[in-house]
Amino acid sequence: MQNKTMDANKGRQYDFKFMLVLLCVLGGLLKITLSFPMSGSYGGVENQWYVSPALFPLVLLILLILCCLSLLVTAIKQGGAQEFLSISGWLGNKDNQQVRERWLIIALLIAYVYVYIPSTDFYLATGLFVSTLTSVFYLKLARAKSVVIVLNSMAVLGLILIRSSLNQDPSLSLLDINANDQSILWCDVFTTCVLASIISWQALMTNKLNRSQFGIQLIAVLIVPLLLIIAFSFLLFVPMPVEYGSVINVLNWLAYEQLGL
Amino acid sequence: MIEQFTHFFSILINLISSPTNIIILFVASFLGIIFGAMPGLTATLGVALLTALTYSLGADTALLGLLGMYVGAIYGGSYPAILINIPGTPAAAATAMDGYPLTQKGLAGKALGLTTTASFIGTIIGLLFLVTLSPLIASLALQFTSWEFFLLALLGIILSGSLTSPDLVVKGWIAGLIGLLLATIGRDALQFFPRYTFDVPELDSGLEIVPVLIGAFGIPQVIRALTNTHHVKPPIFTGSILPELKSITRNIKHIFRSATIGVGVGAVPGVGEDIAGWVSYSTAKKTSSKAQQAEFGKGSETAIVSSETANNACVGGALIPLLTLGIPGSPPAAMLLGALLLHGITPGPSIEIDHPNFLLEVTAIMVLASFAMWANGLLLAKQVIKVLQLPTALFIPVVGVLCILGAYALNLNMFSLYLMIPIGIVAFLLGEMKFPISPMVIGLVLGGMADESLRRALLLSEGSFMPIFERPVALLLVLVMTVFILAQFSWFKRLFSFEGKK
Repeated sequence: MQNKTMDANKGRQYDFKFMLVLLCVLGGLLKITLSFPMSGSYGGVENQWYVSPALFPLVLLILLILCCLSLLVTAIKQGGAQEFLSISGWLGNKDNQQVRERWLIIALLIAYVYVYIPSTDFYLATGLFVSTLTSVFYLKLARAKSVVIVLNSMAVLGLILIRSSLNQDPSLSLLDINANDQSILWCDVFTTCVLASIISWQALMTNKLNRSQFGIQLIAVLIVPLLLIIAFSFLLFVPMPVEYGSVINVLNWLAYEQLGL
Repeated sequence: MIEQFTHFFSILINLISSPTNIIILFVASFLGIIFGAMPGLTATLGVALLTALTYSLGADTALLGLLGMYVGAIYGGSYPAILINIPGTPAAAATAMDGYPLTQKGLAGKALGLTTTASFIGTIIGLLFLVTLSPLIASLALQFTSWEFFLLALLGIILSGSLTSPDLVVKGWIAGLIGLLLATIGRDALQFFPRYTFDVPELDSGLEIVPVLIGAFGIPQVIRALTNTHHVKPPIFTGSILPELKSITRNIKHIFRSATIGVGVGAVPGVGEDIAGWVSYSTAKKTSSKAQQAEFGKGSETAIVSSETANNACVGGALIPLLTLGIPGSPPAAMLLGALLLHGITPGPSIEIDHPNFLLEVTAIMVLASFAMWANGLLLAKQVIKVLQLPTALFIPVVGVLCILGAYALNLNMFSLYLMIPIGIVAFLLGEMKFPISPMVIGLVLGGMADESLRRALLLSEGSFMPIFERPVALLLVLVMTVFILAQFSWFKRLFSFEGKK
């Protein structure tokens, strides 16, 4: 019963913070919306308030602000304003293992989509992503979280460094896919090294008891991504997010030049 | 009528005459059962990922796969619910209450047989409602003006927000309104004015529904499934699964009632199969004899049959508003809407005019999907259980990769990937704060229709809101909405309880 009350109290604290953030965002959106043409002429069309592109967003923003204020008041009434300034109140309890693991997965997803995929071969990027997750959650190796955080931070920094130093056009942002052959090659080499480090570390850390687990995990890390690429690229004819990289090039050479697909 | 039947059978024969179709149907149905059975995977995610894979296929073949997956996944959730007391999907939560006690008594085969046949019958009854009600609703909807469509979209958000919120109802409404607001991103349909595009050209055409849905349902699943501290023991099952026709006959009245409940709940926008299962379970308990009531929670076959019939009948129910009004009845139906749009089919009142016999085609596909589910359930149950032995932490990272590939594959645009991740993270955080995700998704799907309908209606009435009060359907929708909103206030509840006591 006491736990339930504590959970409800914690929930209201999150509601209070989220409503404050949402109200700030809605305020910003309201400002933008008020700059939309309300009446007068736009694109050669004589505008009336009821056909204005601002009408529907304004209705929604007003309704949302009202709902948010109602939830904010409920949250304040139920003690939601407590721990407003504590960082753990915003990001979750840092001593809670589950909370830390969830932030780790979010960070990995961000690294995978925004850094690994646009920089390096899709197979290598996927292998790195999968092996990191299986080290922590499947093999559950000792000090796995610290090791994967260090290795992935190195990978992110290394790839950014390689791309920014070899990129001929500095105006290109990191989110644009890698267009420089030399940069792609070096990114592939670097990612292979990080992936190899993770797998070697896994091999060193697994004892005789979980050797079979390590073997199964290797299938998920090395074979499954390869099968996915083959299925998508050559059977369903759906290209990968990036169509460059050493492994993809070898597969293309095999499929198109050797097998004549 | 005879002509309709002849046409239905010709579509059916046409579909099964292609070996590719048969393979796709059975594989999709089997995959659906696995998606439903694997804790951490859901029917919505399965339909979302399959949408990417079936993109290059013809519309009817793609639909065959998608509906096979949908029906299979809703049924598949009952496997872990019965064998290890952990529902594979929320839809099977009610089934676990009585399915697991049967397993403890050594009757897992009987429980699985009951769910297989009840799910099959539920799907078929849902389908009968779909085929009889859809043309009626569609012809009624043809009389609707922009006001009715605007109000329907708003009602969908309010109903879905009110019924799916695990905490305060206002959280469901906030989620729905956020969804509607997300739908306004991009150039508006009437004047082509860029709204909230922040000079990003990729946002000009608005948010792509499929990557957003994959993000909203897939990413939170990946995060939660990997960090779930609950230890899931692998299911063990020996024996055989039989159709249990005698038990089904004994519970025939419960089956028909549960199917009707399932269809009714399914037709409410955004309300999914889980609610259908629970409503049907409690109704079956209330309407059973005292001796039967005492069995509930201890392995009652009535309870299993009721919840499983209802959750599968819900599939047909969810398709009724989807096909006739363009309003999805459940999260997987929202995903299905995205898939139909990708194949150039826009569901709505004019569907039979734009695509003649489309309803018959869906009916034929649903018959095949339910048959494939039944056959897979009876023949391949042991294989499904073998797949269930796979540890979650091993396949969930691969599901994460599939989400990435699925989001990219539909429009081959990296921006979809870049968009999917923040949407997924926000959806995860919202879920953690007990905001329901379904109203947000329904809002995103219905936002465009609501926006256009409101402005078109006001354009025709020259800015007057009076037509709402002159049109009976519009007035009814406003009244229902008002009652639903007022019902959240304690003074309104008190007023009515006071009146009641007097």
